[in-house]
Amino acid sequence: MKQVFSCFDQKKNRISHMPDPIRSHIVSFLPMKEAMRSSILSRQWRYVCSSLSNLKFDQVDFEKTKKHKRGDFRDFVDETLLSHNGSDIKSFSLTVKLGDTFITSCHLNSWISFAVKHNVQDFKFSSYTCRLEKLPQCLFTSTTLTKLSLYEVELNLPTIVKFPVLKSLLFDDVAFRGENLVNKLLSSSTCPVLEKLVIWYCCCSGINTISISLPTLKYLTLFDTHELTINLVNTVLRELIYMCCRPPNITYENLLSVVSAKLHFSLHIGLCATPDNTFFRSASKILVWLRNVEKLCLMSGIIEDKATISNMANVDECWKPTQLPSEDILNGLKTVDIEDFKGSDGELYLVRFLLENAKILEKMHICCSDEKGLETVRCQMCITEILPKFTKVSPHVTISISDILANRVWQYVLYVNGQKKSSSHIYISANKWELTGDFCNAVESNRELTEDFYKLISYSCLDQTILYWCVQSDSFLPSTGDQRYLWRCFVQVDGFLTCGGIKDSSLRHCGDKFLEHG
Amino acid sequence: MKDSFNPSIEPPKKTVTLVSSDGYDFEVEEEVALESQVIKDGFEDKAVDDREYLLFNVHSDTLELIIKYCEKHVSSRKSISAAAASSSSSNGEEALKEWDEHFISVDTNTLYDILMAADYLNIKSLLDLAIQKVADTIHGRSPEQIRKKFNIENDSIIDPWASE
Repeated sequence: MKQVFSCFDQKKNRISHMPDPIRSHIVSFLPMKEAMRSSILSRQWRYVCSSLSNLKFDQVDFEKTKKHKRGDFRDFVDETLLSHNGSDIKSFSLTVKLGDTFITSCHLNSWISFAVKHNVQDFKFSSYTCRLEKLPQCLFTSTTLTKLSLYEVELNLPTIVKFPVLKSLLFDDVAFRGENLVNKLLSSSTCPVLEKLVIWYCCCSGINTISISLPTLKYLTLFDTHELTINLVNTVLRELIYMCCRPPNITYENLLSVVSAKLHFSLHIGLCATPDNTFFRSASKILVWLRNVEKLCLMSGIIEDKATISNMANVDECWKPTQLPSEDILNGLKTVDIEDFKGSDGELYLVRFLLENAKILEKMHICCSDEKGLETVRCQMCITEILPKFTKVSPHVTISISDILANRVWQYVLYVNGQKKSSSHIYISANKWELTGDFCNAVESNRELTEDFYKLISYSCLDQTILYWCVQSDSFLPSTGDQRYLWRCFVQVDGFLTCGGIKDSSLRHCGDKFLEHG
Repeated sequence: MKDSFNPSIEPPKKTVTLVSSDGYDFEVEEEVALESQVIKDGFEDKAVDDREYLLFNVHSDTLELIIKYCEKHVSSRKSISAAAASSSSSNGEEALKEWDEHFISVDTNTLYDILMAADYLNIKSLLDLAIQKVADTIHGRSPEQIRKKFNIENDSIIDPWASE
């Protein structure tokens, strides 16, 4: 490498004399629009962003910032791609508002094909207003794709689908067409090295069963897949997050490897027929089969619901681990979260069962149900009188209980999801919150929701000792009034606050201010 | 196999010498030097008694900072993994982030020196840190402001964004 910084002039404008790859690296750390703008700084900067390897185009974001003419976004994408120098693209993310007459399927096709042609590894497509009907065929035979995320599209699969190096696959609000094609997609012949599969809110009209047969799969998340029957075969999962109507059809061998599981079988949504004994039998079987699990989170539905209280005897029956000797189960279990706890006999039976069999259990957290009336009273009684009497085999177990607040946030999020159909991911437990990405967008775009959300935070803070809040969205910018509100919320936190991941400086400022106050 | 029992072989040397462009020697621990991918790549092939690196592009002032950075990261990594092994909670990573933030808060020229040296020595975490810092100064400014800030002369023929 040659020394380039010698003369005085260059020293003053050193940044322009840095090697192209470094300047390209610098602009790649900027939002797309600013990166592209750097090309007009001077001649030396003209081609710096022609080799950007991470391309992110977001029409919603683009049209939010300042006044723009219709079609500007299209031109911006076209120009950026046109000035690209032909080097490989690492990640390509595209969010468009469908229904914009300036962007036709022809444009989308050419943009997506461009990414595929340039050996894209991480591809993300999201349509904002309605489902895109067709994606270009070339996407489904990409030989470089390692991560594919599709939001709000209609998945019309071509007959030839092959992802030889795909490791991570995410579908959010995707409409599947054709049972055979879906099953073919989720098989090892199509995705031979897939490790992570996430399916949120999928619409599968005309499909009754989805079979997942992926021996390489390690992480599986399924959320609200309506009335589908899920078959899991040939899997060696490590982590299972399963929140659907009914328990999956799965065999004992396939659950042995699971280390972390979060289960929720939603009975209350009303989409499913009243659960019968087979339902509970398979739900409890799954629990017993998770014999190597270390972290377990049980949400409603895994234990019996009101509808079957009359069948209590049967429920008790199916909790009895007849398949395995009791000393051989739950050997690795360290933490348990039970959410939506109502204090019913079935739930108490389950808690007792866990306490009696989990030998190295460290933490059990119970989050009480939100429902008012008798159940709250019952719940209180359980906690204060019945729970302490249970035998605990583990010497170091601590049991913590939180009230309805965290639970309310969860339901709130479900509400936001239902309304906005956004791809929110939220995880709440006793005193730790983690909010990511689009959830904040959903909150932000709705004034009423924003206020509710801040209120919610402040309510919760009163009781929370630690608030860990991670906002990954750049566009989460509360107004000045909101900031004040938020700051007040933070002050109420009786402990410490970590503003990890908050990119927005005003929020960070909020946090700093709080920290100054000690 | 027999060689490993031969007593005449000396134990591997634990330090290497880095020579700055202005001729100063810096003796550093092996694992600290190995933070640089460039040194790491050719390390095994080099004879044990010849572990000296002439860094023609790195001035002694900068090299001192780079070594400080690498030493901190090596020791932090050790303490973080030690804390994890004993399963005691530690905020090591947070503290290191804070340290990084403080470390990179330097004047523009020093920042560029660090950036170029990190690139030359291929120390990825440091390069990203320095580049992020430069990107932060560009972020949110108009082209005119950027030109002013960095003394960039506008010699573009056409300015397609001029109307903005």
